[in-house]
Parts: sequence; C-alpha cells; structure tokens
Amino acid sequence: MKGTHLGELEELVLLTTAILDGKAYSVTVAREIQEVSNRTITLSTAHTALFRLEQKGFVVSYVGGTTKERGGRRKRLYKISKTGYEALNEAKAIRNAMWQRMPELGFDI
Amino acid sequence: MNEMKSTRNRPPRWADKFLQWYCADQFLEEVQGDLHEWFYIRVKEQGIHKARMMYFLDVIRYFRTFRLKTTQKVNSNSKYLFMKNLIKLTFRNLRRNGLFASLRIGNLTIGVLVFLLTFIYARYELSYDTFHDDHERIYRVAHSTAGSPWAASPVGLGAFIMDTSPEIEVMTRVFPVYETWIKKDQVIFTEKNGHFVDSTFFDVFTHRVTRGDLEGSLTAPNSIVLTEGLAQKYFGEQNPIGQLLLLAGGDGQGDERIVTAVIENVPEQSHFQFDFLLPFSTFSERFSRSWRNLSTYTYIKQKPRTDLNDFRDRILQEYGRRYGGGTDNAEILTTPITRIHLRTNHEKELADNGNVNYVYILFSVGVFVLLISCINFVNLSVVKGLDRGKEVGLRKTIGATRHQLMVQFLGENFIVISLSALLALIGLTALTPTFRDFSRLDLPLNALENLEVVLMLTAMILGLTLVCGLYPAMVLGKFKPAEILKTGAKGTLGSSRLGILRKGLIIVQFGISLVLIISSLLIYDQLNFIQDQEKGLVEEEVLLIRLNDNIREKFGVFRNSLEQLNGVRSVATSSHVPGYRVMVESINELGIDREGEELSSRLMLVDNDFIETYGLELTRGRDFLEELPDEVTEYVINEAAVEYFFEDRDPLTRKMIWREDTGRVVGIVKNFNFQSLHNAVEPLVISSNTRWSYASVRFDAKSKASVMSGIERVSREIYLDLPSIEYEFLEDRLSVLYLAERKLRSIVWMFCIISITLTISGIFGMATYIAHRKTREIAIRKVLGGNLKHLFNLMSRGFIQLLIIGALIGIPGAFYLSNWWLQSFAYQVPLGANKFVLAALGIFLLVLGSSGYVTLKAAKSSPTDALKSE
Repeated sequence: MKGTHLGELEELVLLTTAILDGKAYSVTVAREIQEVSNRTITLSTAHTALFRLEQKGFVVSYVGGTTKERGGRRKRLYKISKTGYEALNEAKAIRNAMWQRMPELGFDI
Repeated sequence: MNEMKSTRNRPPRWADKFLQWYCADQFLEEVQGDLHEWFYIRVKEQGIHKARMMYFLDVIRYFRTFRLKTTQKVNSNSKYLFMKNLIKLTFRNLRRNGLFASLRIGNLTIGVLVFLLTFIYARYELSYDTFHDDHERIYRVAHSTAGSPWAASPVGLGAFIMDTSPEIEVMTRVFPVYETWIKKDQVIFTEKNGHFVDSTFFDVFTHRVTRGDLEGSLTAPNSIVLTEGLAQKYFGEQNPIGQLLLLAGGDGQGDERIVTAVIENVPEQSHFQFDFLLPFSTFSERFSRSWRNLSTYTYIKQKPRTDLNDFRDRILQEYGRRYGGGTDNAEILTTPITRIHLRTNHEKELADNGNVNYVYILFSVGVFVLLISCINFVNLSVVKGLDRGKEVGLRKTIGATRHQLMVQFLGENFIVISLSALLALIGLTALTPTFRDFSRLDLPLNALENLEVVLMLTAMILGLTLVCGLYPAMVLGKFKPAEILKTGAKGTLGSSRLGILRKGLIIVQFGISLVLIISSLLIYDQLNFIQDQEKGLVEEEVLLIRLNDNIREKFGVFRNSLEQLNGVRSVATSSHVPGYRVMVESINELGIDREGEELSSRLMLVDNDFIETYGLELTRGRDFLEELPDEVTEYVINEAAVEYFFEDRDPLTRKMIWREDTGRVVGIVKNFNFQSLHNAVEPLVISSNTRWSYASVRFDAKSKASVMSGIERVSREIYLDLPSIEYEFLEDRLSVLYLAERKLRSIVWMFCIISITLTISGIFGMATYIAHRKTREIAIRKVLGGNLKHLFNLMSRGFIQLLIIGALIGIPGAFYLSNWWLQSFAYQVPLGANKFVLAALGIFLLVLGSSGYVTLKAAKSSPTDALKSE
C-alpha cells in the first residue's frame, strides 16, 4: 500500500466524513465543505479524495439506499474508520504542538 | 409534450453515454447516481441550461486513470503483473550489483553508440545522389583508354547522343566555368563553382525551386540560375528574379545575366556541387558540337526498361571515327550516378570523391566494437547470473517452468539492453557535433529523424536481446533446483561446454583488439612514412596562385612586383603544378616508329624558372636556357620517363615531339612527387613551351608572413577592380591528398582505444568475479603458506592462455588486413614485426595489470574474515 500521508484536502474530506456520520458521499461532502469553508469543490474531487482515503484505510464504504433523483441507482456511503480517526487526531496534535511553540507575533500594519 | 419536457429535464444523454463508455463498472453506478443527484440540485439552483452544461463538465472531470475501464483491465491482467514484477526485479538486481550493472550497461552503451555512429556515417556516404528522382536511371557517360578512365567527355558527345540514341530519355551536359567573378552594383566576389548546362538539366537532376520557374529557366543565352546561398550573397532579402548580374567576360566589362530561377542549395549528398548554372546556349552551335574539347561531363537519363549495350557500342564507334586509331583498348563507361561518389576516381572528376573501402573499414570497426561489447555483456551476464542459482532453484521448486524462467531472464536482458540503447541515443545526440568536428567526417546531424536509423535501432535492441540475452537466459534456466537447494551451493556451470563458449568469446575479443591496435599503429606509421618521404621538391617554400583571365591580363606587371617583394626568391609560371592532376598527353620520341602505338605521359608546360623555383635536382644535362627563342622548345624529363621512352638510348641525344613542338631533351631531373604517394612517380615530361595557368612563388620560409602581406598589397595595387588574389601553400595542398587517411587515422585510433577499454573492463569484471568466488580458496591457500606470486599465477594463468590463442588468431588477421590496406600505396612502410610485438605486449600487460590488481586486492584481505564469513 502507498504511504498513509494525509493531504490537506484529504484531511478536510475526512473531517467532513466524520461530521456527516455515516451519511457521507460525494454529494453531501461537497455541499458540506462548500457551506462550512466557502470553498467550491467538484464532485469528482470529493469522490477521488474518498477513494484515496478508502485505499489508505481511513474510511470504510458500504452500499446505501437509493432515491428518485438517482434514477434508481444505489449510492456508496462512507464512514470514518478507527485508523482514520487516529490519523485525524494525530494531525490535530501536530498542529496543536506547533501552535504551542508559536511565539507572540506582532505585525506592523 | 410531457415527454419532451422530461427529456429536457434529464442530464444530457450523450454525456451519460460517454461516462458509461470510459468508467469502470465498479464505479459507474455510484458515480452516475451522484452526478444525477447533483444535476437536479443544480437545476433547482441555477436552471436547466447551466445544469446541463455543468453536467458535461463534471463528466469530464471524473476522467481519472483509476476510474478507467482499461486501467482496471490492465491491473487485473496477469501479464501486466508479471511485467511489473519483472521490471521491479530487474532494477533491484541492477542496484544490488552496482559495479557489474554499470559495467554491463556502460559497455553496451559504448558499443551501440560507436556502431550507430559508423552506421549513420556509412548510410550517409552510401546514399549519395539518391535524392534525384529516377536516380537508378541516371548515368554519367565517360570513357577509358588503355585502362585509364577519364570522367569528362567531348562537348559534342551530348549532341551526338541526342541525335542517335532512342534509349535515352534526356541528356544534359555540365561544363565547368572554373574561376570567374560576379559583380552586382559595387559588390564583387570571386566565384569558382558555376557550370554551363543544357536546358534539360532539371529534367535529369532533381532540384527544388524556391523562386521563379525552372521551366525554360536555362533557355535564354543570358540567363543564370542561382542557388539560395548565392542569391542571399548578392541580393539579401530582395527577390532576385529578373535582376541583373555582371559575370566575368565581355572585354573585362562583364556580361549581363538575368536571374531566372533560384533553387535550394545543392544537398551535401551530391557528387556535383554548384553555386550557379548558366545555359549551354551561351556557346555557339559549332562549339557545342565540337569533339576537340574534352572537358564537359555528360549525364543521361535512360528510358525505363532499355539496355545500354548498343548505346555504348555506338558511342565507341563514333569515338573511333572522330579520333582515329583503334578502339581495341578503349571503352565507354556508363557510371550510375549513385556510384560516382564512392566508387569512381577517374581523371578529371568533378569533386574529390570518397573511397568506398574507407567507408567499409569504418563500418567494420563499428561492428567490431559492438561485438566486443556484446561479448562482455554475455560473459558478465553469465558469470553474474550464477549468483542467482538460489532464486532459480526456489522459483523452480514452487512451480516455475524452465520456459518461464527463460522468459524472465530474457525480459531482464531486454530491459537492460533497451536502457543501454536509450543511453546510447542520448549520447549520440550529445556527441555527434563533437565527433563530427573531431573526425571531419560528413556526419549528418539530424540522423535520428531518419526512419531507417530508427528502425535500425529497434531491430538492434531486439537482435541484441536475442544474441546477448538468449544464451545467459538459457544457462540460468537450466540450473537444477534440488542440487542447489540441498547443498546451498551457488549455481554452477555444469558442463564444460559453457566454459568453452565463454573462453571462445574472450579469445575473439582479444583477437579483435589486437587487429585494431595493429591497424591503428600501421596507419599512423604509414602516414608518418609518407610525410617523411623525400619528395624531391621544396614543399615548404612554395605558394601557388591560380591564374584566371583577369589576372593574366596584367600578369607581367604583377610578376615583376612579386619578384621585388622581400623574401621572394623566384616566380615561375606553368600549365600544371604538383599536387593537382597533371594532364596526360600523347608524346613521342622523334625518329622511332612504334607501328601506330603511341606513348603518352604526364606533361607540364613551364617557363625557365620552374625547375629552380621547385628546387628540382638535375641528375644529368641542364636546365632550360634563360634566353630561349619563342620558336624553340626544349624538354626536361624525369628519371621515370627515361626508361619509359628511351629504353637503352641516351635521352640527351634524342628529340621528342608533342603536337607540333619538336625539341631536344636537355636534362633529366630526379623523380619528385608531383602526385600523391598512393601512386609511384609516373613518367613526366616538362616542356619549355610555357602556359600561364599557375604562378608558383618560391619564398624564404622565414619571411612567410611578410610575403603573404606583400602579395595582398601588390594584388590590390595592380588589380583595382578585382577581388583580392587567392593563393595556397604547396605544403597544404600536398597534405590534402592524404586527407582521407588522416581522417581514418584519428577515428581508428579513437575506436581502438575504446575497444581496448571495453576489453579490459570485461577482463576486469571477470577477474573480480572469479576472485570473489575464490575468496575461500585464496584464504585457505594463504593460510597454508601460498605467497602473492602463487596467487597471481592462479588468477592470471587462464587469461594469459586465452590471450595467447587470441594473438595466434588476431596477428595473422591483422597481417592480412595491413597488407591489403598498404596495397593502395606505391610507397609502403615496411611491415615490421615490432608493431605486432608492441600490440601483443601492450594488451598482455593490460590484462596482467587488471587481473593482477584484482588479485592483489583479494590477497590483501585477511584470510580469517573470508573463512569466517560462510
């Protein structure tokens, strides 16, 4: 398996997946990210990120129900895994540690 | 109505089709569902049109390799997995054995590079004049008398051919202008490369027009066709069509010429190079039917499916009729135009032609170097492969067949060979300009654009894989798994046959290296030998000036000023000079009847300063008289001519006759080399009947610089309107005669050094490997008291045996080749044994050195380490 490094976008998608708690798939992820961070990502980007995360073992997927808009097609839903959760925590810890070491910065206007 | 609405509300069908086409099944349902959902959200928020457009964009954005059907197919294909595994294993093995990997790849890269260089060169030289359409039907008509062929033909021959020959489609004559000048406004240059040609010129030869129209461009008597280079020189960016140029002639004022067409510069691969063309219609009809002038070149294009035998007979009869005498030892030659460059070297060739033998020599050297590198590759692959016995054993145990293993090893070799070829290609691109400068060969720089070269490279990769890869793969695939795994031994070369083959290859390598070393020593020696030959004239102290009509006009004044110059000893004029072809004329001894047989010899027409100017040594008789009346002719002959003309008679008492000039033979000069030393000195007659074609200036070697600037100054003072006078040193001209040999020397030297390096690196690799395998043996011998000398013997004996056998094969080969090459020289350096001994000794020391170095390293290591390690 390739490295388990967590990219910036992947981290964002993983966080969103965790927040959506079992209801995450590309459409909901894309909308959520758009609402929270005001950043537009395409469906393809979201789906690719989810696919990579699954390959890295950070999310697990299962086949979910269908709706009328989908023309009877089932969706694949994604859920954060234990390792995914640990990876998120680690990323957060690293950031926190670095914030701790940040000196007082004064900016001239 | 309702239905229409529903189609309009749907995502575009064709976008869906596209998605279904590329997207792998496992993603399709999910992706398409997501997209549709997104589409309907968009419809609500942004309207149907935008949603449909965005839908298509989204479909395109989903286009990622991992979602493609092909990727899925490839990923699950066992062949692909095998390839992936193979590549991974190959590179892993290469990395593990850094030294061996670089030896193998480096060796092959150099071999392929050298081979490609020589291949490209040979292809280039061999495809001269093939750019003409129908080149296989174009011939040059020439003749040969008494076995000496003459490239030029009479002016009238062309007209005769067109009148009488049904098998000829079209004919053109080419009549060189020699030196002239062209003037446009105030710009004036000397031009040397123009020709009068028939209006049918472009029907025979293929040249691309860039401006104007070729049709009828050479019909009007005052027209001129320029090449782009010349057009650029006189007109710059202007359109030259219809403009006027002044050409030398017309009472010194110049003839007006109108530019009718501009063609592309003549391709390098043409034996016939020119800068401009003039119409043959400039001449009178009488001249163009004359058989007296023998200095035009006649080219014909044969009709398809015709035979030239009758044609040649007809011309031969006409020659007989025109010139009288028998046609028994005369012959008409129709030389295919593509053979002219490399395979003819007649009198009066249009250009300095190449020598097909030298092309073959170079190409064979390239093949030799490739062969050496292939042998290295095979040997190193085999010996190194023995270490992989365990891998083979294990693979076989878990079910790999011999065939599969062979494919694996073949694949590995294919990868390594492709890598080498790639490196060679990069090297070729990078090194071609350098090599071109170094070798002074006409090496095309854009060879890689040529399909033939690319095909050759592909064929080479496949061929090398088969030749160099098959044998090691077979050997490695043969290992017996049980034996290896049980004993834990490394792979062994079971039968002795394999050893014999490997040894045979090393012997071949030694043989080839020896041949190359000896050949390069020989070429070197022979050239020095020629340079040191007593030439019989003072080549360092003479410079030559070619006299054209313009210079001749005021030559008396010019000559006087030259003689006044500080450092000039004398000035002579003559019809020919050493270093250029001297004409052959029919000359006879007066009062001797040879029953119709006429003798002919080289003839120079000179003034009475000539012998002194060239420092020729008179062995008998005297120089020409200072004050010789115009109507009296005297002859001086060289020693070679004494025997040829006079047998046992005393030449100084005899008279000779050339055309109407009868005169006494007054002196005999020692033979001097007025031609290259490829030929023995031919009989030469020097007549006091002066012609002003060349001026030769003898100067003091010390004041060379002041003489050069003096000539500049004087020529500018006397010839106000002319371009400044061009001259050439005799020494330089004479060395041009050996240009081909000097090129050959530098290239063969370089390739020789490369092949030695390759051979030694192969030996080094083998020795390293053997030492490595014999680590324990060496250690035990050391423990038991074996000394360095003993170990050295152990390691080197095998190689020395092979070397001796190699020498037994290589030296006779080299001897044979050397003799063959020396045949082309009349003066040959003695083929002493010293070269052979030197070459053999040199390679002997190198082998001893490289295997000795390895032994020394192995012997120095502590025996305890070696014994503990296993």
